Parts: sequence; C-alpha cells; structure tokens
Amino acid sequence: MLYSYRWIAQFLNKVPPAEDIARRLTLAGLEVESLKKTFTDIGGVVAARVQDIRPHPGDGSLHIVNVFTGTKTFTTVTAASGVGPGAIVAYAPAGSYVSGGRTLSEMDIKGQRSSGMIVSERELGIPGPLSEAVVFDTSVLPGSDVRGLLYLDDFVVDVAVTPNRPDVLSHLGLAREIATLFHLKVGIPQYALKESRYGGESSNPKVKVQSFDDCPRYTVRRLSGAIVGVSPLWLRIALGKLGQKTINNIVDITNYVMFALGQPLHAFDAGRIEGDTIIVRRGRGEKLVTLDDQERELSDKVLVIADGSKPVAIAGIMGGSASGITEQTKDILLESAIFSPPVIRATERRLGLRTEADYRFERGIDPQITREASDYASFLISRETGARVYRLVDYSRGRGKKRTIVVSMDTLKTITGLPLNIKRVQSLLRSVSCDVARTRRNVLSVVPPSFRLDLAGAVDLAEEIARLIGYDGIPSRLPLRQASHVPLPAGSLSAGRVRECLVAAGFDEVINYSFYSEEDHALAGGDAVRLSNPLNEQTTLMRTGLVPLLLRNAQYNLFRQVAHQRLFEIGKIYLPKGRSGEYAEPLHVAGLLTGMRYPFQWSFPHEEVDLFDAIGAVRGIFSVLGLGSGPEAVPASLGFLVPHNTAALKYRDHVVGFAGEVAPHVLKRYDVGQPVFVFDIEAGPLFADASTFTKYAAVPRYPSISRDLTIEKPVSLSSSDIVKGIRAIGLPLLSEIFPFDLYVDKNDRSDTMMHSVTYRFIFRAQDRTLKDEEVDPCMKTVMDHIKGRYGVRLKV
Amino acid sequence: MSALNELLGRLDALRRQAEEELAKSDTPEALEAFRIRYLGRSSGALTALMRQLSDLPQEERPAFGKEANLCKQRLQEAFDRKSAAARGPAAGTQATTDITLPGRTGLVGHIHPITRALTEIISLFMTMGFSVTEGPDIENDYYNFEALNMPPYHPARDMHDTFYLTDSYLLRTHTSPVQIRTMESQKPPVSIIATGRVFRRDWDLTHTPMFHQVEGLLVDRGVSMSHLKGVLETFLKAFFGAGTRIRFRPSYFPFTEPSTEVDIGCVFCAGAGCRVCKKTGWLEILGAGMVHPNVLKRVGYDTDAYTGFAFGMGIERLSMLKYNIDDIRLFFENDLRFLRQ
Repeated sequence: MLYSYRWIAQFLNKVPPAEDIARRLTLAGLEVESLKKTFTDIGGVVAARVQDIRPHPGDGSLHIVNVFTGTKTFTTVTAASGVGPGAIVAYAPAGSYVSGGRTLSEMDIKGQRSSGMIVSERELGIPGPLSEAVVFDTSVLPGSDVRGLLYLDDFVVDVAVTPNRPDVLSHLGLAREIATLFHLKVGIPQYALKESRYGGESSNPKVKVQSFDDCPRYTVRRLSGAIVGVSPLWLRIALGKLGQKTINNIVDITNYVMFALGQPLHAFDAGRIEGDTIIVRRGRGEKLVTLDDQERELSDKVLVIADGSKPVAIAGIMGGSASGITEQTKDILLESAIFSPPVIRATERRLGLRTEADYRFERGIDPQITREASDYASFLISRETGARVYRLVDYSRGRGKKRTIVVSMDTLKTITGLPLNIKRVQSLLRSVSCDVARTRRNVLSVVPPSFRLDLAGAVDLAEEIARLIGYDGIPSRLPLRQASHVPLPAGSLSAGRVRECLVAAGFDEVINYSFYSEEDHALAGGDAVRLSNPLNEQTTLMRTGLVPLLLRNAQYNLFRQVAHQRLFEIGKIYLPKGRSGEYAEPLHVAGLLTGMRYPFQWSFPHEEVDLFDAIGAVRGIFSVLGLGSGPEAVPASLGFLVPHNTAALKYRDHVVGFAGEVAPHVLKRYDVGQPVFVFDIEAGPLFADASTFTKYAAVPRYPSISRDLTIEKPVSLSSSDIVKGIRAIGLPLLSEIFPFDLYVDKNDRSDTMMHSVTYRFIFRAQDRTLKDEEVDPCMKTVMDHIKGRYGVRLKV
Repeated sequence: MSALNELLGRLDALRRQAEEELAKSDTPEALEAFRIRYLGRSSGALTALMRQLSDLPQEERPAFGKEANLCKQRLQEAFDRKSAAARGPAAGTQATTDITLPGRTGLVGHIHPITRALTEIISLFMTMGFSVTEGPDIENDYYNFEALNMPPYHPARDMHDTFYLTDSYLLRTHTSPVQIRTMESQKPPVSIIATGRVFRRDWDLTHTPMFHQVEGLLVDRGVSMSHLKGVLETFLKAFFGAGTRIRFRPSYFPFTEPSTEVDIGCVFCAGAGCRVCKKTGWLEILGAGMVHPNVLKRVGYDTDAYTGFAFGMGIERLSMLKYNIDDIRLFFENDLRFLRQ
C-alpha cells in the first residue's frame, strides 16, 4: 500500500525523518519497497498577485497579464480564464519547471514578449478535471513556494503489508506502528460532528441483515442537501499522491476516509433507493450493472445490498451504477459495515473483481473503527458540501467477545530463543496496545486491541515481542540433536551416477519445463494430465515424454549456430491417475545427439553421430549402474522415429525405453535441418536393480587366448542372435565375445545386403594357462554351430 | 638327430645371433641393415631358414612352422621396439611433429547450474545432520494449502498463483507440502530437507512458471528461533562465503509463526546500493519461521513438547546470486552457450 508521509504525520504528535521510518518499518516486518519524493517535477513555481490584465491585441482568446511575485513584476501571456486583478495565482517564472519536465523560459507569443506562465492544476500534476488557473486565497503572500502552499512536498512510502496485518492498511494503522517503534503518541485529529435527529421528510433508514455470519455489523446514515461536484484541491492532491483517481467530492471523501482509517465506505444516492429499508442478503440470481458498467450475475454465493425491490450493490466490493452518486444526487445514504472475509473472497473470486474495499474486507476490519469512519466521512462531507448529517443507524450482533491469550514466559523464551524478563514483555505488549495482566509468577494474560486481528495465540505474541526487539537480538546457535542416519531417497545416488556418466560422454544437462504444448504431446503420445488453467499453449499438458522438449532445445541451439549437440535431461514425466488413484511421476533419462561424433578438431575423424551413439549412451548408463553390458536392442517402430533405425531397449525382457533417429517430417515440424538421434529410458526399473556398491572379483591370474572369426551374414540375421546362440552352446572356457569389425559393401543398399562381422572370442581358464589345443575344439564347435544353424560363410 | 631337431637348433642359433646384433644396432642405418639381413622377405636369414620347411616330412612341418613363426614374431616385435626408441629424441635431428597443435581432448559435457547448486546445498545441509526427502510435483489442495494453515479463501493463497489440474489437484506451488508428508509418516524428532520443482502461474522477465526450491524442517524438543538463525547463518556463509552479511526480518507465512525473511548483503554492490538490490544494499534470499502450532497439531504432534522451524528457498535465486546470472529465464532456455560455461 502507498502512504503519504504528511498524511501519516496528521496522526502523530511528532514525526521522525522518512528514511528512519522506512528503515525501522522494514526491520519490524513491514517491508518498505520504496520511498519516493512527490511532485519532483515541480520546482520554482510561486504564488503571484495579478496586477493588471488586458486582452492580447493579436489573439482574442489570450490575455496579457502583469504579475507581482513579491519582489518583481513579470509580464506573461495566458489563456487561462477567471483570472482577475488582485487574484493570487500560481505562477511559473522563467527557469522554473512544471509537470512533464517542462522548463519555462521567456518567449514571444504572437508578437508579445511573455515571461513564464500562469499554471493550471494540470500543469502541477494534480488529478482533476480542471485546466483553470490555480487560485489561492488572497491572504497568501506573493512569492510563497507553491510546493509548500499545496503540500506538494511529501514522500510516498510503498509498504508490502503482509496478509496478517490488515490493521496497517490505513494511514492511522501505519501511524500506530510508527508510534510503537518510535515511542510516540497516536490519535485521530479532533473534529466536531453535528448530528441531526431523523424526522419529517428525513426518515431514518432501517436495516435488515439476513445473516450476521455474512455481515456482523451494518451501519448507515442519511446525509441530506449535499452539493455534489469536483473535490477540493487538498483532497485531490491527497488522493493523487496515492495514485488514486478523483470521481466527485462525495466518493473521494469515502475513499479518503478508507485510506485514513482503513474502513471502506459506500455512498448511495438515497433518491435511487426504493423504500427506507436496506437489506443485506445473498443474491438470488439477479443481474446488477456495477459502477464499472459491467453486468454481474448475483448467485447465492454473492452477498448483496438490496432495497425493497432489487440489489443495489455487491456488498463490500462494488456499488451498482444505478444507485451511485451523481451531480443530481441530493441525499446520501452512507454505509459503513463489516462483511465476512470468506464471503467477500468467494465473491471476488467468482466475479473476478478486485477493489481497494474488498482487499480490506477480506483481510478483516477493526470492529471499533466502523462508527468512527462514518463520523469522520460525514464530518468532511458536511464541511465540504454543506450537507446535513443525521444520526447513525447501527445494526450489529453486539459486541464480540474479547480475545484473551494466556501465555507463559517459558513458551515465549523457547520460541524466540531470547533471554526475556517479564517486565520487558509486559511493556513491549503494552506498547502495541495490548492489555496485559500478570496472573501467576511466570504467566501473562493478554487482551490484544480490537484492530490486531492477527494476535490469536502465544506464538503470535512471541513474534510480536521478537519483532519489536528486532530479530538481530536473537542469539544464533546450532541445534544439539541425537545423531541419526536416514538413507538418501531411492534412486538419488543412481541419478547422480547417470548424470556423471553422460557428462563424461560429452552430454550437456538441460532442465525443461514439466509441461508442454499439444504439438509436443503429439510426439510423446499417451494419456496426459491436462492443466485446467494453462498460462499459454506451452503449459497445456503435463509432459508424458522428455524427447519433444529436447527437440525444442536442439532447434533453439541450432538457430544459435551450435551445430554439434549432445543434450540430456533426468526428469519426471506425468501420467494420469491409475488404479492406485494417484498420479504417477516416473523418472526418465533422455538424450539427444546431433552433429559431429567427435570434437571438430584436427586430430579426430570428422564423422556424424548415428544410432549407435544413442544406444551407446544407454549402454554407458547400464554400465555405471552395474547392470551388465547394456540393454537389448530389438527392432521397433515409433511414429516419430525413422523406421528400421529405431530400437526398443529391453532390460530383463521388459521394454524400458527406445533409441532412434527422428523422422524427417518431425524434424521439419520442429524446424531442425540435420539428422537427430534420441533415446529415452525409464529410470525406475534400472535404479531398482542398480548395485549400490560394487563387489569386486579377483582379477584373472592366467593369460587368455583370443581368436577372431569373420561371419558373412545377411543384414537380417541379427548380431545379437548370433552372439546369444553362441553363448547358448555353453562353452565353459569362452569368457567374452564381441564384434570388433564390420565390413559392408557400400554399393549394396538392398535388404539382402551382406554384413561381414568379425568377432573376437576370448577364452580363459581360472586355474591354468590355456593351451591352443584346448581352444581349437571350442572354435570348431562354434564354427560348426554357426554353419549348421545359419548356413553362412565363415572366414578365419 | 632328426631333421626337425637340426632345423630347430639352427633356428635357435639364428635367433640368438639376431638378438645380439639387434642389441648393438643403434642408428637407423644399422637397424635397416639388420631388418634386411634377418627379416627381409626375399633374402632375410629367417626367411631362408623357413624355406627349408619343405625338406621336412609332412607330419613334422606344423611343429617347425609354429616355432619359426613364433621366432619371427618375437624378432619383429623386438625390432619394432628398438626402431621406435631410435626414432626418439636421441635420434631427433629434425622436427617432424608440430607440438603446438592442440592436444586431443574428448567431448566433455556440463551439469546444469541448477543441479550443481542443488548438489552443493544438499551436501551442506547433510553435513548439518539433515536427511534428504522428496514429494510429488502433483499435489492436492490439502497438502499444498490446507494442512499448511491456508484454508480455502485464505488471503495468503494470493501469493501463490496456482496451476490447477482439477478442483482438488494442482501443481505444488512450494516444497512445503513435503513437511506435512514427512511429519505424517514420522514421529519427532524430524530434520529433513526436500528439494524439487515447484510451479507458479507467472511468466515474465523475472518469473518462470517452474522453478526449484529447497525446503527444510527441524522439529524437536526446545527448538527456538536461535537454532533457525544458527542453521541458516551457517548455510549462507558456507554457500556465499564466510564474509556474507545476513539479516533476519520479520515477515509472514501462514504456516510459520514467528516468520522471517532472510536477506544477504548485496553481492553485486557489496551493500553500497545498486539496481539489483533496489538501492537497499540487501537481497532477499529465503523465507523461514517457527512451524505454526496449527500445522503441528494437524499431523498429531504434541505442541507442548515439540517446536520446530522450517525454511524454504528458491534455487534459481540462490544460483543467480552465486554464479552472477542476471536473467532467470536462462535456466530453462537451455542455451548451450550458457550451459557450457
């Protein structure tokens, strides 16, 4: 909320410097977000007496005026009307500056020399409809600075008031806080309100409240004979400092009192209210056009103010436009009431309305200020418009019970960690207007003031004491505890190993949003969880796969000339409620590769990545998790990957992911102009089996014998089948077998093309040095097996 | 003496002679002469001896062939070693290598700065005896708000622009629900931290709709604000440096009372006042407080016996300040020119 420093000063017996106030407030929990001087663009403008005035010979709409500023007389040309000889006006001499950063000078206006100008309100930056000259009382001395005369010299303080402190949402409230912090006296300025009895034509309004739960207190009074018009200058300046618009004198006064005392008020045009009974009730599905010219539907969730026949306002939020104050208004019904915070909040949510009034109602109003606010506003209306003020009609549930908090010194000491003595605590609590009684040696009974709705329990008092002393005063200590061990969450170590493995393999980690667009989801597929209030199309659905956003990353970086990329993300995907009735959030590891396989550098071959780089990355993951040689790749088909260049990745006979080349039509949609390979695996099944510690086996003590064998086979005969077949023979001495060379006739692109794969066989015995004679028969068995089973050619 | 034995004997003699000669051959010229004499394909001594294989009876040939091959292989290996050594510095009369070419380094990837910061933060708290726990990203209204002392229509809900999935399910707006989940399943004392993604419906220059938080909770007998200050000061000084200035300010969160916001001295202007700290010299870094008794009661803890503190902080904010990053959106644009730094 914005506060005027001068306005705050009205409630205090003395006012500390603004900077000091700002510093102390922040340390007491009322964070000052800014402290700004007001009207800094006005300077050098002074009061001046009009000496004489004559028409401009060259232009009938202009006048030539001589003004006296106390020491000198200046001649200036003006278009302002209503300026007569002897009037005291605001005059900006040459060299002074006015709103909008304009600096005045001497100039020629249609053949007439003109020095400076007579300024209007608008040129002083005062909100209002007037472009007339600012005219002061004739008692004002020429030469007086206008900044001082109009109280333009001020600070505006912006305080972030937390939701628990509605009592501070007014100048009186902040003044109370300052009074506590600086040991000052606070109070509402004296005023004398004259009230008339109802009678004759001015009958007393009656109030009917359907439920005191919705509206614990409703007051209303009649003011008659008001002259509605433009607000006086002081009022417009005061509201203008807070960035408020000006409407008319009546509405402006109700707003002024709200900012002064914290109680929102509403003024009805009494002539537009049918009958003399005001009813506070729930809506019945009626429609009401509010002051902002919107038609609102009033359901039974909405609290309304109604007359005998129709709703006239949405309680606590906004009035109806039909019953609003206009220049024709003569009689006013002034409402000052308290409405239930949850009801106000529900209404505000339902209607999407946000006003200064409901902001205060939903946080809570001091029940003791309701009458005061009505009186103060009535006094001001009467003073400014000459209206007659009638007595207050006050309808309430009666006085609420006083809240009493019983608190022991031990509790206060334990919570705050402060060394406290009971005298100090008593005086601190009294400084924030609590009634404090000592009931036992170490126990206090505390009654908070009516405006401190947030003080409800012992912990609230603890905070009050700690913040008044200052958190700086709390000693700093490390807790002393029983040592214990709780293991890390399942998988967090594994995730760390996978991350290190991928980074070592040249992958850069990315973190993408958990949501994505419909277009991205078309790629990932499956049932997705939908957001009911997305912010934009990128927040439409919870992701069911990591690859679409990796593709977006690749595109983003390709557009920034990063041609060689290896990206990975370790993150959750989100699945709809299953049988368990809960959403599932399985962790996935996904990667993307594009561009060169090796660093683009003189010492490396210049080769592009391919599918085996993607599958290889997954092999690396299996390896660091201690899950053997890698996943089993089986041919698969996925809509967004190139057919025959897609592998489903299996672990323990279950598909846990895929790897493949992204299909050209997808690359086109994602604006990617070069081949891209991706992989995505579900981490859960792998992490569940990952060995948390490695069991080391003895290293072999005897040398091995290796043999190589080349198999010339059609591409359709898969290498993994051959290896599995050989393994299945069960040769006890065969310890390893892996392909180490592949020859493909580049000219043959048919699906009967031949692959010459050379495998290395490593034989080893645990207890002796093997002899060739032992290995020869093994190799013969292998060759017989392959020839017999597949009928392919072998080369030794 | 059979023909085989005789040949094997000559093979052995040749090998020894060759080894002796090789030992003396130190110059490239001498080595080349050695190669021609012994290993040459047409006139080498070893080749000549191997040609005599045909003089042997059929059944004895494999035995000799194997020995001869082995002998040739050994000599070749010894020769290769010696030649390599001869090409070394001692022999270097000419520079054949441009050693100023950059060395061969493989690809090295990078860990995302958020992960880096998280890892560091987790280890700092673990050394102070906090254990690590997790919670779901998709939460229900109860854990995200109600159990944290924010009933429906509580004004503090305004501070959380929430993404909803249904009326009761939402994307968690903070990691605080993990406090409740932990206390529901664990008796005091409790000391945990929880990290993870959180979501707010806000996307502009200074907000991303997703960010990361670290949440901390400690409940035990006699826990006070002193302990909260001790733990957080220790953490902040370890994370930002021992000279970091720290300020605790009263604030408000519905689930803590008393509540505090913690500021550190501005890392950009060292407290002199700049644009980042809005001329205050201080940067807001985290929120914390003593767990509200309503929260403890709701999970069945005895509020007469136990008190606790909780804190929560944004990893992006901490990282921005620590790594001098000026735009939060950089974390999720995944610009490799940023990530590879």
